[in-house]
Amino acid sequence: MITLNVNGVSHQVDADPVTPLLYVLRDHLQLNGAKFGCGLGQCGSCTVMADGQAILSCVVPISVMQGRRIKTLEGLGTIDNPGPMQRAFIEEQAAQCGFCIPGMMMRAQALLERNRSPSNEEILSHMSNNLCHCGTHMRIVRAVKRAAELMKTGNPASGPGRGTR
Amino acid sequence: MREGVDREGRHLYPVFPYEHFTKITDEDLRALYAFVMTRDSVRAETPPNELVFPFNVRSLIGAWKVLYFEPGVFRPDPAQSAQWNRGAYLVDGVGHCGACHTPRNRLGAEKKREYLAGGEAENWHAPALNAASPAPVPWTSAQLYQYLRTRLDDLHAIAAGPMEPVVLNLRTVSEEDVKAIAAYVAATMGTPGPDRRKKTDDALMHARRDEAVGVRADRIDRDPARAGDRAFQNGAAIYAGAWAVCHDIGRNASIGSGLHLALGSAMTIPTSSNLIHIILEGIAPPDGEPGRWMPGYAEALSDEQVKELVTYIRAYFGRSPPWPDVDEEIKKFRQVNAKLRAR
Repeated sequence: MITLNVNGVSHQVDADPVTPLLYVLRDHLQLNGAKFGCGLGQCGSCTVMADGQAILSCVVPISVMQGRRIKTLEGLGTIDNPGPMQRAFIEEQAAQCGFCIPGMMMRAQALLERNRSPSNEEILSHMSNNLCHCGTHMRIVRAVKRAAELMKTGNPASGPGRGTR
Repeated sequence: MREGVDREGRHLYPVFPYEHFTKITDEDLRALYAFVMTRDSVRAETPPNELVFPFNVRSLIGAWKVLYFEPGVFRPDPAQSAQWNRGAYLVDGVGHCGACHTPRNRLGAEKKREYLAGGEAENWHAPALNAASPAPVPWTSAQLYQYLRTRLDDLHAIAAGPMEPVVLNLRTVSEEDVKAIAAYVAATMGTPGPDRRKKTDDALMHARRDEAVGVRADRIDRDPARAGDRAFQNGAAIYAGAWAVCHDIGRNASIGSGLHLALGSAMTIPTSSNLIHIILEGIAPPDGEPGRWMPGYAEALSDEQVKELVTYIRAYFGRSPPWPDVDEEIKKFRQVNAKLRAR
């Protein structure tokens, strides 16, 4: 048995210690926010956070995650009450097919938790590990900037998302 | 370039590798000058000298030069081929390979008796290019050429760390010159003896055996002699859960899998520094270029876990005695990284 702390809740998991964290999140804990993209740590769609840092859950075994604070997309908010990162992505209409977006949000969250006002350059360099097949990168960058604003003010920005243009 | 003095006649610090550039011919120096003078000038202030006493006393470099600096243009060896001589000229002169690949003494001078015997660059180990080469599969001239041209040869690890920009620069160098460098370095490494060949056979067999099986998560049971070795077992589990999926099947360009670790020199060099760099920061394609990348594990693994992984990889894939410097190298890496982040 391995104990995993996910979104503030402790879970006893009966799985081989070698199992990638992603499989346990999805198959054992039914936390399906993180996605299986490539399974090789190349695309970033499985990104979650551990102790505030972005990690690729498809190439990280659960054996190294005991005692770490894991946060997944489900830890950012709910459908009825989305968190600032999720609101920003909705307002900027940053998703097209949406498969990469949970990973994008988690990587962006890790950035904003240690840097409240990242420059464009910092956002691009930090997000460069995560791929979007649809090509919505520019909207994603806008969403990250909007999320930074929302986190500062705590209020949703008014008006329709610029992503609707 | 020739004498290590600036326009005002002051001694230059040998961080500017005039020990090597002194070997460049008049003709090449003229060409370099002509090229540099066509560049647009920019204003750039020289940073202040922050070295501690006595290294901040510039005039002492004069004494250092008396001890260690041998000015003079490259002299070809008539007993060797034209290609060998061209390679030697490029390696020792403008290429200044020894600046990283030759070990230095306490005063920062290259140890001439340990020519290309393995040195250091930016906290990475620059592997030996002489008979002490740690490559599990001995380099041939053709493989070195392939590596220097493309970063990648089938039986060796990708050019990473400070070697990556070197390979990018070599793209601008003529095919003949890169071939000459490869031929000279291969000649310096020499022909492997029976001991070396045995090790090569072992490494290749190890790699081929694993590759034939494919990705397996059950490495932990493979070595019953180590059943009680907890750190080793933990390291094996981390490898199996994080690395096996990309490295167990060996390198395959079409799916982007990575080199089998029994073939990489990071596992066989005398220090753990390169393996720790690769584990923690990964390997990314050069800026703006497509390609597979290996994710870094600085965020995912604790220092203890990195140590377990390193210990396992060194023993299982490197087939070598444990490194004594693992704790120290992990600490060094974390400190340098923290400094970079704080900037």
